[in-house]
Amino acid sequence: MMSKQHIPAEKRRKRTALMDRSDIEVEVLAYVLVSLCVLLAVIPCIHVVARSFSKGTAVISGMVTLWPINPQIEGYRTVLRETEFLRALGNTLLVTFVGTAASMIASILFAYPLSKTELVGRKFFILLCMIVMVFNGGMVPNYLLMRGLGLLDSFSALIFPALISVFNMLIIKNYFESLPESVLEYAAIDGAGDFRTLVSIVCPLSMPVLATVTLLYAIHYWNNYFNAMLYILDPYKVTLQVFIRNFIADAGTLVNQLERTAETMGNLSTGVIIACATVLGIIPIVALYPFVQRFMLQGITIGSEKG
Amino acid sequence: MKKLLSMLLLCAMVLGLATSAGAEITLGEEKPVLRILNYNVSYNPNETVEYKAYVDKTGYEAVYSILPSENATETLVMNMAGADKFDMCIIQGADQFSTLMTQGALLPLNDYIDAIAPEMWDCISKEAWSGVSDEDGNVYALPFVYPMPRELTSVITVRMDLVKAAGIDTLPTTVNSFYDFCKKLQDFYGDQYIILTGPYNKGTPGNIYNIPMCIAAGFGIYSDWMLDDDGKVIYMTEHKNFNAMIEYLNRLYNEKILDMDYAINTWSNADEKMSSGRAILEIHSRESINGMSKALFANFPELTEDDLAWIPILHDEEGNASFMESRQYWSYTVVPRSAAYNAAYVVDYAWKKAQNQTYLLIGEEGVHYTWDEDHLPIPIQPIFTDERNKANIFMSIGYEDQLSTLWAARLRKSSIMWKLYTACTLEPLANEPQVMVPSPFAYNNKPAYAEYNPQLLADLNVYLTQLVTGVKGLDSLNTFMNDWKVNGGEEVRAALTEWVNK
Repeated sequence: MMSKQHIPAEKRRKRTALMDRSDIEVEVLAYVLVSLCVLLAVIPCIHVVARSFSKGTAVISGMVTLWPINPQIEGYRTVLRETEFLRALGNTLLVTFVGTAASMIASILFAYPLSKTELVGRKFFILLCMIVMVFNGGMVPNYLLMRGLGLLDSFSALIFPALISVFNMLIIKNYFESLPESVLEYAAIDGAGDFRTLVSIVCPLSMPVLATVTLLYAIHYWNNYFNAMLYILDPYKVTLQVFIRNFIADAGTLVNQLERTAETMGNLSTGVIIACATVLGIIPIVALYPFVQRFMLQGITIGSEKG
Repeated sequence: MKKLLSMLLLCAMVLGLATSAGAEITLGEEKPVLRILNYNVSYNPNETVEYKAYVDKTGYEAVYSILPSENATETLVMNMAGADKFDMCIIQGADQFSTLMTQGALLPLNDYIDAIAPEMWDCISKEAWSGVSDEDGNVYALPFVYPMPRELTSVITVRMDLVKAAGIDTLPTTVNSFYDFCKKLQDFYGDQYIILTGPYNKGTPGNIYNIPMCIAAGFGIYSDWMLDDDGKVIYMTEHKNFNAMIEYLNRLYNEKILDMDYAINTWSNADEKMSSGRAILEIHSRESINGMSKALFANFPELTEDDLAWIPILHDEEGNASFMESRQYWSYTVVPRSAAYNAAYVVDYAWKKAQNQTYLLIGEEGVHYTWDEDHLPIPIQPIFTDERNKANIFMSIGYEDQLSTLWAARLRKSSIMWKLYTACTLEPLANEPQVMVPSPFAYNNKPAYAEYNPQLLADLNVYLTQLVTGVKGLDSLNTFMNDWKVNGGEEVRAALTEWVNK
């Protein structure tokens, strides 16, 4: 095999130039492919936004592509004023905040003891967690459980079943295990008990993983659809995702309601109303995402170094 | 899953029997707040003006819960099995009612009706009662029947400005003249326009076909299940004119009279093509005429309502046509066995609603509506829509013979919808009432029908589209019928035969 030293300088320069050019080509190709993927994802969203701002007649005629036709905000005004959207949004925010806080507290309190190798029965508890990860009671038994606990038509029915995600708890546990034992020993020498150590030493040191898991829980509660659909029938307690699904199924009624005079007829259509509800439904997450994106990226790898 | 749900319902039934046995049927002085589980709507019924009107007229307060739009049947069954959660449920869909009735989750209401409101038996026809009864005559629901059974619901909307520009003055009345009419339009306009777009595959569940029923009417075909001349129950594909109808529709498609996107169009695609000026004729129904026509007039300001006309139904060369009445249920009010102790109040509530149905459905004369010279109500807008648009969901049972008159007010909310209804239903049926075929299977509650027919109908619609667009030929009919038999076709036929004989 010819070593690098034996390659003539001219030839080496050409090869480097070729590699540079090839790198540029690969990079250009990557940009093109990624841009195409981005466009594939973004264009439908732009289309929905354009529909939401367009006049109903333009949507019915299929004239709206990526820019609103006869722009108006009547659809948004209607969804915000004439429907239960704001109530559903409030319910979802409540469930998300309370649920995320409760889940974090429960997960941390569960993960910390499990991160201690000296815990009696540690493997047994971890095995139990694994079983829960693989097997599920199913829709009817879960419903019966919620009914037995008296949680139907209550926000608790949306929080308790998801209180501890084993996956998230294990991420926290693994991170706790990676903390230097010596720091915890110093705390013990200074007289801190387990709870004080957890609150004052472990949690502050684990902020990256806690932030990431908080985000994962928040997304779970925000997107929770199935449990909300099954356990909440009280229209005052309906959450946003269920509201949007139910609303889409019956949006025609609202349009009929608004077509009560010749002047208002044609301003809105089912397509406009559905687009508005959809856009309003994703605004909170889209607004929040840039600020929490780095935690999402961390979440892919964090806690995976050990265990 | 189904077994588990059935067991749950069985438990609920036993519990209900235990609690209701021997109870005397009376109304106490204090009315309970009724807990109602309602089919899915996009709004909160408890907050509507209509709800307050119902409270005023009946004296009953109610708390409404709403079924989800997805997994509605499963959620319903689980909640019915959940003892003492709801006093009554207002549900849609024969499959939901059939599931609950056959599993024994519902309370028979005969004794309650007899004790509280015996006049209620006269609200609807015996046929309508029979559809919510078992073999022993036990009634398990207070049904709200479809208010407009005699309506030509599949029509062809025509751009008269384009038709007249092509030198045509009259609309066709027969299937053959319709073909000639379309050919003339095609000869005049070439590829400039889609001659006929569709299908209108939206409407009452279980009654949606991927073929234009206004054209099928000219071949004597009016439903998926029909009776032949000998009174035998036949499927659409077994009708003597089925092949001729398919050949006709296939010819329209092959000659590019029918929209080349016919197989993939949704009703909104068809509306798009018509309202954007790309089509001359559209198959649809009154349901979407408001939006489509407003969009059309917005895109072509020179057009007016007078530039639209309708072909309500096509005939054969002898002048015969058949279109089926839509005799079915809009909703069912049922009482879980576990709520027997409030069943008397549920019946009383329903009866008070029926007694006040005019006020509850269309409001107060002079305030919400007036009468025209034909004694049909004219809504006063916008108060009519503001205060009565959602009134129908609260009804349980109504006087069947009055409903279509009251419903006219709802159609008159827009002039174009009323124009279509007049041109496609009032006038044609005044001239030839015989085109409306009474449904031989109306209100049937046969479990086999509820179990198998939704899938059979879905398969039929796919097959019809394939035949019309030439993806499959009529030589595939035997294969289709073999699959049809495997999927329960004969079981449904037997059930419907039993129903007709009864």
